[in-house]
Amino acid sequence: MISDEELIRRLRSALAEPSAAPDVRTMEGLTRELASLNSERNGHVRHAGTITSLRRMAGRRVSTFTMMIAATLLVGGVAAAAVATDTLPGPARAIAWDLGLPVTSPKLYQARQVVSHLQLSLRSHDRRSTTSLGRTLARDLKKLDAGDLSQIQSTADQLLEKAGVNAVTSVTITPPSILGGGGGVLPLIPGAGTSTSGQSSETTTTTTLLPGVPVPTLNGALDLGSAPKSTTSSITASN
Amino acid sequence: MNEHDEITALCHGDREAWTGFYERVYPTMLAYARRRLGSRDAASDAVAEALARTVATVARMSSLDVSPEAWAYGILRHVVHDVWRRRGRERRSVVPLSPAGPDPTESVGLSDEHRVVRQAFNQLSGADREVLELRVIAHLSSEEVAAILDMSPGAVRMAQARALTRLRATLMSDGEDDD
Repeated sequence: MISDEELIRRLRSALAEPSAAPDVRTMEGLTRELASLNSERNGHVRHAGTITSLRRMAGRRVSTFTMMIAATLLVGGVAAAAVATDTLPGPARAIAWDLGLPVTSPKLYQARQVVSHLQLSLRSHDRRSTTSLGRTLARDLKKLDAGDLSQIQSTADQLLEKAGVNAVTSVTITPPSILGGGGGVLPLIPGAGTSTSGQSSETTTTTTLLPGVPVPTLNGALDLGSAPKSTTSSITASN
Repeated sequence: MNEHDEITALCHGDREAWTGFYERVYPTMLAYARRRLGSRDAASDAVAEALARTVATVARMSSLDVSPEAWAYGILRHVVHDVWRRRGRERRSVVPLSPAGPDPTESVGLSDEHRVVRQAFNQLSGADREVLELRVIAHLSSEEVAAILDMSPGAVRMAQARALTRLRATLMSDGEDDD
């Protein structure tokens, strides 16, 4: 009499496939799907899915061209209806944003979604989910521009603090243009000095160089032009 | 990397996580598909399709509290069914040149014991074979198999016990026949 354990061991041994590695075509499929997944995450449309769904509904006799027109009209109709209420789904939102329509930017929309999920997660005391969403939010915040960030930052900061996730401070320093190869001639910026924009958390330091001061270029050459020069460095701090 | 971290990485489209996942599940998924579709080529097509669909639907997977393996097997099962349906349509419209059968290369290089166990396994019903493959070969939990086969976990455990009993009986009767 063979025991269950012995039977399972024999079965495993007999049915095991010799260690096969994914073939090239499978890995190409992975690359394609990952590109598609990442593109969707970044807010681009996946037209193929819509066309395939329509084709399935309409049968095989309808041409791809007709399907593309139908898909465009369908997507366009939905988008037009949703633009007015700013309730667009992610991909359509990206298109509307690219077209300059008055909708919330996809990145801000995404960040708001994460804020909403994080709030729910904090309420339900789901520690794992809270940490994960907190990290996602911190990452999403870094992608926002100053205008979008100002709309969400205070709420996000409070939530990140509750979630115990450190908001990553992003410091972007735009190097002075004197490093460019063109000799570093910059336009004169009136009102030189330091100004701080509280709303966008952006500190702009403008230094006016004295006329006639040579500005070194990358290759060490000196620009001897006499035009007034200034350098601008921009420091963006998001907490 | 624990399962939660892996799911998070998969959902974020982490290439390294996906490659690791592909390499881990590919051999058993290929074996599963090959036993149902006959040829290695058809099986590898089905697995490639199933894994691609797994990537495309990972967002839905993460919301359903299932392991990536169970999700991928569930998809593979649908892909295999689609192939069967397609073959059925083709058979109705085209007269096959030769009858479809198991891949003749399948038994090449097998030991006698493995051949005997495979023969006994092939005599089981499709339902018995499926539950044993998902539980024993794919290492899925009874809850995961239950979700794939649309059964209760208890029914899966019962089905597994019965399938093992039938396999044992087949093996013993084959052994007696050989004697």
